[in-house]
Amino acid sequence: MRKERLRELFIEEAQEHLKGIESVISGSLPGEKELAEAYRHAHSLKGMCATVGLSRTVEKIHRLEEYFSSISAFEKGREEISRIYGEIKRMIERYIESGVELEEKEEKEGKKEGLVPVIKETSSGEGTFKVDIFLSSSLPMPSATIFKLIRNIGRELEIYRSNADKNLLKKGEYPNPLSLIVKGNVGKLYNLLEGEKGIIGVNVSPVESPEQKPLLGETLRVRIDDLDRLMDDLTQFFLLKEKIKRKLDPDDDLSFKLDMLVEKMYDRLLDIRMVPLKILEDGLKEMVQSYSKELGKRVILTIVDKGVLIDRGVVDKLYSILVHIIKNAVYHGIETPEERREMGKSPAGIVKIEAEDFPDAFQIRVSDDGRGVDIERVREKIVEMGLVEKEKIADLSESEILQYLFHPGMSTSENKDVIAGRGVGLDAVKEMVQKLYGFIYVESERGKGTVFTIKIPRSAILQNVVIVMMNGERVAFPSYMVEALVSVDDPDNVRFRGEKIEVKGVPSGTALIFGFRGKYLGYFIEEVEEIDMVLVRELPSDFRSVPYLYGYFFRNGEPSFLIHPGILWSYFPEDLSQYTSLRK
Amino acid sequence: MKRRVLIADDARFMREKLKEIFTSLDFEVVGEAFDGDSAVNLYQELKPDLVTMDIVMPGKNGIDAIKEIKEKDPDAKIIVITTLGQKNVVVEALEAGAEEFIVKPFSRRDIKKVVNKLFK
Repeated sequence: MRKERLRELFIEEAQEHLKGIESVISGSLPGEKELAEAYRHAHSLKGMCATVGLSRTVEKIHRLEEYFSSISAFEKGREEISRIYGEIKRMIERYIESGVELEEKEEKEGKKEGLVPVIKETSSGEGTFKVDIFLSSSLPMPSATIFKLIRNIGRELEIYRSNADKNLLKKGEYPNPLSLIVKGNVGKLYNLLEGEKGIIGVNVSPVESPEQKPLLGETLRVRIDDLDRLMDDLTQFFLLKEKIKRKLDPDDDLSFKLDMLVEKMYDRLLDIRMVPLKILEDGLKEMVQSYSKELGKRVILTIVDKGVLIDRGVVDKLYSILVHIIKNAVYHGIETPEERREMGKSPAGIVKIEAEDFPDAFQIRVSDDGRGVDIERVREKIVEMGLVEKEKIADLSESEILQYLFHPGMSTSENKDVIAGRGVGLDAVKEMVQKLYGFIYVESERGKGTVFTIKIPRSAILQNVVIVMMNGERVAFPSYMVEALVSVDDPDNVRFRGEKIEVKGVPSGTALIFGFRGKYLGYFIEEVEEIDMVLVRELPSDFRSVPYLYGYFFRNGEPSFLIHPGILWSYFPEDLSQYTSLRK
Repeated sequence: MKRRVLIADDARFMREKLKEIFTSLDFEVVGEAFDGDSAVNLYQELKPDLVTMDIVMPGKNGIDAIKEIKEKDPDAKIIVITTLGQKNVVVEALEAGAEEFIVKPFSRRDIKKVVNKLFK
């Protein structure tokens, strides 16, 4: 009964809001008041659609809302607005007609939701502490969460320093991890953080009282070679530590202490080796300038690095990757000034690099506002090349189709008519990213532009991984891709954040969820053994052809494989028998 | 004694949904407001233990309503109910004095968790 009543209310109100929006957008140019009204209608509708699980509709309404935010935005988007509105209306009508029951957000009491925060309680009692709080990359409102955390912590402990800035938080920019220096009882801190949604890890370590410590530290020049050697030494030490641990009683406290110490040393060394992403700026700008001049185009390159730091061992490789992507954008993505004017765009194209920090990884997005990818032609090409059967191509979503751009032979210069905007060798780019144990993903809209998102683990040699048992085998996944661990009642209907998601592998009671850019995919596992830092070794040559294996490591003296979920969208196997046979 | 809650949201659908959840959590829904002004007035009149506040509402918005309520009663407990895409607004709402926020879509469990924390 109550469901029916809610449903009736939904239909009635959704129609009211649609009407409200329509009356504003169908007339002449609305004034500020009408626009605010349209915004409110769109916003209420968005909230309702979110509540019943219409996430695609929510995205569309969100775009509409942005056009309603100011008169200039509205004017700019006129055509777009009626198109999007039409889509939203159809989506909602279809939903109403389908008679589908109102979806309830998944709800089970006492279930695991997300990874349990890894709170390293190495400190206790009263004192001054450095606290690092790591947030999940999929937390819906990180800046608000951080604001709340700081406020709540400030009620119980004294905060001396914080890497968060209130004004930036208001703009939606936030640090991750949130680092604080606090004074007080650390037990109170643990109580505050307990059960707080979206925290995936907390590190607390004692520091000297900030009053006694001079703010300015002494600096020292160090030769890069020496740092490299130190890194090699530490790697050796890490191996030795693993051997020592095997001789110890597993419950021995010493084993834990050794782990912590090596991890700390490694973190410190990495910190020393870090350089700001900004150092790539001059080279890239120069390149953009010379190419665009050659082609008679106007291109502006902007870099928003948000202070992201990268390991100097990664810098050169990352530079090559960015050069490839940006060159492509300038050559094929951005139109000539004349073409752009005709399309109502500003004559200068924009290529934007945005960097962001995540726990264990950093992310770089390269976007252009050029002509985008012709998805229909890619679809045809996929069939032509025999990659997907003609009958099955319709099952692939637009985003799945787009990922085929990374397939060898798909984006060569001969095919540049096929893929407007994408020229030479994206397969090569993908390979370079994978060599850094990273993941690359492409999004594009015809006429609007293309976005490449790259996520690369902070460190290549020692990586934080989630070690699991799966089909009786021990394997590991890089922690930066793992979103959550969920328990499963019905293997055919695994839900995460209110949506049904695809889960691969042999059905079991537990699934590990991977997430990237708001998309989720799962894999059935037996259990999580540990989240730990491991030394990643290169695969022997016989294994290199297996696309989802990216390295191996030793655990209790036995080799185990690392699996790269980054390619799971295209290559992930249904079961791992393929890989076990290889191992023999 | 049942805890008393005031729900402020301009969408009847959302109010109904929240009402259902709060009732199941053993709350008494003592009032429903459809805009910022009525939220402030009803708060004065009813003095509920808890308010859920939508931000985008006709007339006075949720943030101004929070400010007014907190001015009159600094101990008022307010939860902001919001939709994605309002990042800065949520920080503003917290700054104005809201204690917690919940993002749509939410489940009974999400609300329960937050309520438990507030009435610990």
